[in-house]
Amino acid sequence: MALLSVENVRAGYGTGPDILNGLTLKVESNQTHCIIGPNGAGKSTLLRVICGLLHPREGRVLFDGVPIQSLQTPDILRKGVSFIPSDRCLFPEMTVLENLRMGGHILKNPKSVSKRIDEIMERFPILQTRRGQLAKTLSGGEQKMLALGRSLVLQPKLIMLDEPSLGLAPKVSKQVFENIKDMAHSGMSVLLVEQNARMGLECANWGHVLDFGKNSFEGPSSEILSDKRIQELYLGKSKPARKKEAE
Amino acid sequence: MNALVQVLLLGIALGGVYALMASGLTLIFGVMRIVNIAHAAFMMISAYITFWAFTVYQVDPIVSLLFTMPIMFGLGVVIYRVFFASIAGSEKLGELSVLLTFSLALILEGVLGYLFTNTYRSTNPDYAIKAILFGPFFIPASQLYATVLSLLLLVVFWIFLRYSRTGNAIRATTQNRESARIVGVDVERISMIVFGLGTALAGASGSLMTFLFSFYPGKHWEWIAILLSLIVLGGMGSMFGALIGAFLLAIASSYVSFYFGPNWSPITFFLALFLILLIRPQGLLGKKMEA
Amino acid sequence: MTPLTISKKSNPETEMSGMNQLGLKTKFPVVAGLVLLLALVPLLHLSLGGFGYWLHMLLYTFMYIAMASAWNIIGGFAGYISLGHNVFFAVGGYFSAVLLVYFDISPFLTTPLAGLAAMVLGIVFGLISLRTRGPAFIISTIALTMVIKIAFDNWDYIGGSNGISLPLSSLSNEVVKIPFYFAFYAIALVTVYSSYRIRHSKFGLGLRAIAQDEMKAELAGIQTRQYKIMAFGLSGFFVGMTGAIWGDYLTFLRPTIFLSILVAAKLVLMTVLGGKGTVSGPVLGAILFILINEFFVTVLGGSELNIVATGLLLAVVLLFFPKGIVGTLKDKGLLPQFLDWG
Repeated sequence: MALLSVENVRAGYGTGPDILNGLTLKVESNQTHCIIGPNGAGKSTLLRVICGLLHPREGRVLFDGVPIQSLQTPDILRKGVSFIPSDRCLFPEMTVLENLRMGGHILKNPKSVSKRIDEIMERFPILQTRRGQLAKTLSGGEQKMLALGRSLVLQPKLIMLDEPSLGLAPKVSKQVFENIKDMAHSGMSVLLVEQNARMGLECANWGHVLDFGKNSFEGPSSEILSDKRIQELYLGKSKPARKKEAE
Repeated sequence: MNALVQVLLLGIALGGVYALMASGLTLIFGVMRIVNIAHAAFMMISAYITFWAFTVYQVDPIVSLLFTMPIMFGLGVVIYRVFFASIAGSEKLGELSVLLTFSLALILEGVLGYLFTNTYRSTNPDYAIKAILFGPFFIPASQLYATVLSLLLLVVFWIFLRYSRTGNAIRATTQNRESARIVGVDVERISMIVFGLGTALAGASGSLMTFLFSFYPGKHWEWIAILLSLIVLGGMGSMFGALIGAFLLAIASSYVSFYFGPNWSPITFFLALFLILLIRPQGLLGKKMEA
Repeated sequence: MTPLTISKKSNPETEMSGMNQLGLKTKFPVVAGLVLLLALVPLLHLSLGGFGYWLHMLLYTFMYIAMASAWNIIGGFAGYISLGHNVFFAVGGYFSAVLLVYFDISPFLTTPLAGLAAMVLGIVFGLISLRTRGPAFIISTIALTMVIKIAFDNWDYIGGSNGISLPLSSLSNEVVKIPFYFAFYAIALVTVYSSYRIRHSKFGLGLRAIAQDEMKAELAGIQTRQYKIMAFGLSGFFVGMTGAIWGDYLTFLRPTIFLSILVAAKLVLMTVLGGKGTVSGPVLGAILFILINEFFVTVLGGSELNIVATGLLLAVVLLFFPKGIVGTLKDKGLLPQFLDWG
């Protein structure tokens, strides 16, 4: 049974049009899935639906076999789903430590939260160094790391990231993707949405191409990376020099 | 020279009270971006309750804080659910909330006027006429007690915000509403609690003001104009800014009262407002308005 | 769907959505007919007598039609809520009153000047307060009212808190209302017509853009600051004129009357009730509100419950019909042609 199963979901914002048009998608345990696709295809919307920020108009979302599409975010978090949005995801006037504590907000026992925070700071030593600093004073990469760390406090089974490389210098993005790979190795399932399709697919096992709110293509990420059609449509633009060569 | 210092002291002695009055307003705005025009009307409700308890049962106004605060908290929660819960998610909240709280203020004023008429009221416990001497200077006991109590309440509130689970949830919601949701904060419930807390703070300041100023139902317009000017000066949404604004303006209005007469002292707040709008529209500690 | 073209003097007919020649033919006669009929009411009174109460109610309604339509220019078209509009009412009123008492010039002559005085105040104030968006502006309008109130309360030249008394008219009781009737009637016509022309002009389009998304409007090249200040000033101009005439009608002015927040509240309520941002909305809202108010006063008497009723009505309209009657009907396509003025 798949860890996460999105079945025929139709969703949109307010009274606006459908952004997701009957989307079906499965994420297996211990796998890293990457979703790519053009802007407006619904990639971010999908993540928001899964973690309960937006309720679908039709369809189901199953986590560990249990329907979660009508649950509120705190309950979905308790089931083991975590979400890191693309930007502005921290509490700027709170310290690193306070931000991490907020990650464990739904847990009532402060001691267990402290223990987990210690573990996270071991994993990301830079957070230990900056523990008393206000989140807004951190660099882009450090903020991303804090966001990652915060999402790990609840020891989620599935972690969802929306464009983790957004706004980061290439070297820093690389570090972020290394962290994601580490998390995957420690047994977490990862679902990430990436505009930088190459980097995203390279750290994933399985890839999905989203277009017009539907899962239009999926397969092993290496296949997607090498598929010529997809290269032209979604990847080609990032390598114009190579294209010229080919001509 | 002595006179100037005396005036300064009188101003400082009122600063704390103004800060308490403004704190509820700032809190609600920070969390929900609602400008609560009815805030001073809430103060009036509490003032009248205090007045009634004092006149009928001789309850000391300071003691009445023990019941006006919980009553106002409850009232705030109820009003939030009736008026604001339904439009909480919509984008029009900002514009709508001003008019909505405006209409709320009218309703509250009308009810109070009907129940208590427009006579000027106040309470006069013993300390209302006493003064405490500091060398050659004096501070009216009423102002001193009120300011000390106000600052105490604010400190307690600050501790609550920084160290309690709910307090942290409130701060998180103020700083980044969506991320608060993402980490599992029940943002709607927090909004409701905050509205209750803000109203409770209004309740506290309402009780305290009964022995400092005289009041009648329609007076809340003057108060809300003063408080709103104060928080614009301090920077909307910044509790610390409200504190600074409160003391600065209390002191300034004390001098205005001294030189031009008490009738003119409210103008201090409004002129300060216009001045800050000219020079630094986001207030002393506020952030520049984003798109 | 034809794209809306921005031209300085756009043709009103083609700009109205869903408007056809037939609609035009039914709208103008109805409106024109009403306008003419209303002009004849005083004749009725003169010939038959006994219409004094009607004259009063009608001129009162015209006054509020003018004020609500004026408020709508800044509050509805531009989306900047002013809660202190009675400031213009007071300034206009006092301006003409002073000219009458100290210089013996009739308010009927000085009304436009009173309007100008209010407009100047609006522009100066707008220069300061329209630098901010949203709540800070609203707060500053309240602050302005307070400042003017305190200033007037303490200014002996204009009577301070006791106010000014104006000399009574030499006309007899039966006839005295008639000049005021026509004055308010004229002001109402001018204001509504101006509102209509603004709405269907490039200026009005710019204001609407500001109301919807000021950032985008600025990026599109619209001079948002000038537009806002102009709208605020114009809005004040018309309200100032009504204040001048009303002061003379009452024959006395006092800060508590002219600067009571209730006047500002009623303006907001009327416009929101009728339909903020439309031309016919404030007119309809003013008429409706006055009818409702008369009802309340008859049933509930006294002033305090009146305030409660005003507040409740505003709250209900805001929560359930935020677009007002005209706006809601328009959305549903049920707006009768003779009310569709834009």
